[in-house]
Amino acid sequence: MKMSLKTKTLIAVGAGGLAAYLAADWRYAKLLATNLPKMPFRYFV
Amino acid sequence: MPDYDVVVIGGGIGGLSTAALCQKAGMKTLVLEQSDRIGGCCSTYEVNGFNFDVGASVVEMPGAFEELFRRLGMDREKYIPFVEVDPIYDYCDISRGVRFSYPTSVEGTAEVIARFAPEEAKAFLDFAKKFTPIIAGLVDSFFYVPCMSFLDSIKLVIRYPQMIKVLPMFVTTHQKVVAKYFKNEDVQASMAFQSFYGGMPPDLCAGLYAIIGLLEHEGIYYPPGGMIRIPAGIQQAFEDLGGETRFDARVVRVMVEDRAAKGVELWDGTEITSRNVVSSINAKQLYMEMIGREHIPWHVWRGIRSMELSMPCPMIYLGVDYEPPLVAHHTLNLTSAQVMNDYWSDYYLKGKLYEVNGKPEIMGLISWASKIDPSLAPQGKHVLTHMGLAPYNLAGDDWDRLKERYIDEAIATIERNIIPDLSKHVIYRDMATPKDLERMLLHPAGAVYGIQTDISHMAVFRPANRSKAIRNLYLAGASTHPGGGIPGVLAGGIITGGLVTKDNG
Repeated sequence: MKMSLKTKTLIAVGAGGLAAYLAADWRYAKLLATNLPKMPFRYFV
Repeated sequence: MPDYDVVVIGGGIGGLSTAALCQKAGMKTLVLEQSDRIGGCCSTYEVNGFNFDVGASVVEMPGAFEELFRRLGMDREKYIPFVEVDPIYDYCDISRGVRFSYPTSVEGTAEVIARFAPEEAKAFLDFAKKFTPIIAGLVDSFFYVPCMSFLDSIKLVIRYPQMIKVLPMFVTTHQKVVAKYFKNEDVQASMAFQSFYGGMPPDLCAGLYAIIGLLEHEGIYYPPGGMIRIPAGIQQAFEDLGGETRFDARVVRVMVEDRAAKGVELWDGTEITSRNVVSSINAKQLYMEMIGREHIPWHVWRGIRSMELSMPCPMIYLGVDYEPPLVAHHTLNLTSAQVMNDYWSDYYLKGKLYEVNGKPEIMGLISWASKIDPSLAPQGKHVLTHMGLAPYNLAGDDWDRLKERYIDEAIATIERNIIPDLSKHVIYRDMATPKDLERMLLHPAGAVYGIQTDISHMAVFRPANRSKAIRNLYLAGASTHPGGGIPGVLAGGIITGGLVTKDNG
């Protein structure tokens, strides 16, 4: 099944679900806060 | 017509296992190794009759080897014989008078724990009872299958519905899983340090790694002749199938046309064309140095640049003139989980060595390989290796300057905590600093586990086994799914070998 870049981007951003779950350990939180914005880009590597 | 069907960059376990599976499928395969020795981190070198393992010191999850050789239709025992290591660990802190060893047996380990923490023995059995049934399914469903996309993740859960129960372990920390089951500080320490096998402290490592402390009780093994027997055995199987290995063949560029890999260029300008290229080197190094910005879309480039390298492991090699007073293949200075976490944030990330009362305390794992195989040292003598924790970049210092002092401090630490008078018996000493590992093995910053292993670099967020940016390019080794360590890179090789053969019909 071929997906467009836009669809893939939406899926990758949908990192967001993980962020919500995790939001619901300060060093771990700091690691995640630093990395969450980068995760949608990592999805494409 | 291309010279080969598959060219593999790197003769470590990940590259060799991928190559063997491709050759088994009838593809003409070539492995290119930059050094004159097979195995990368999993290798052995000899000096003055002492044989030292370069990095990796033991085999965990031997099932990964059985899986590889089953797929090759070959007998693992013929190529890589194993001897069981039991007890699996000895934990020691002579300054507190604490010492205990864990045998392979789960019940035996519970008995050991009961001697100093009776309430924790039942907790250990409960932990084993809960996770042992999950491990087998988890390994089969997560370990040997690709996890490159959202759809792959969905397929994992469909194939193994129990995965739903395990998912919280991906998003919690190793520390929290251990703390949930164990309250005694020494028991916690014995179950928490395995996070460093993923290259992270317990409070930053994914909770999934907490099952390593249980997995080890399925048996850990050592190959007589040293760890080099493992890559040498896979290489032999690969060549028996008709594969070809070249040494001193450093690849400097992956040839790319229209975003498709066409082959590789060696350091001497030789070009080798192939239908597929498999890279088992560090993924950042592959994309940023061997392929280059011009072939990679901006959003992929940004993802690659954002990835963090794993920690290095400084290795100390000691030849001693007596049988050391140890009881296990692996001995660990007992260090609380909290100290491991504080070390990481207060020292490691600031480029400093750990200190206690102003004195350097060199944390690490001691391996005594000649206990299992006395032929690794001259008669009456023994080999010890020390796998340490220290940063690549040192604040105000340099590894080439620090090297001898680091060995001195490590020996002093071992004398304080584990082996009194060790220094009187050392007749050979050397070490591979993170810089040496970078120079010898070409691991950028000495990163032995490739890319860092935290939740933001796992599964779909880790460099994919089949490149998403370049056609006909595949990744194996520690940088890709499922990750570093011998079982991880072997499983990655099985996944990537499967993808290459499937894609080539």
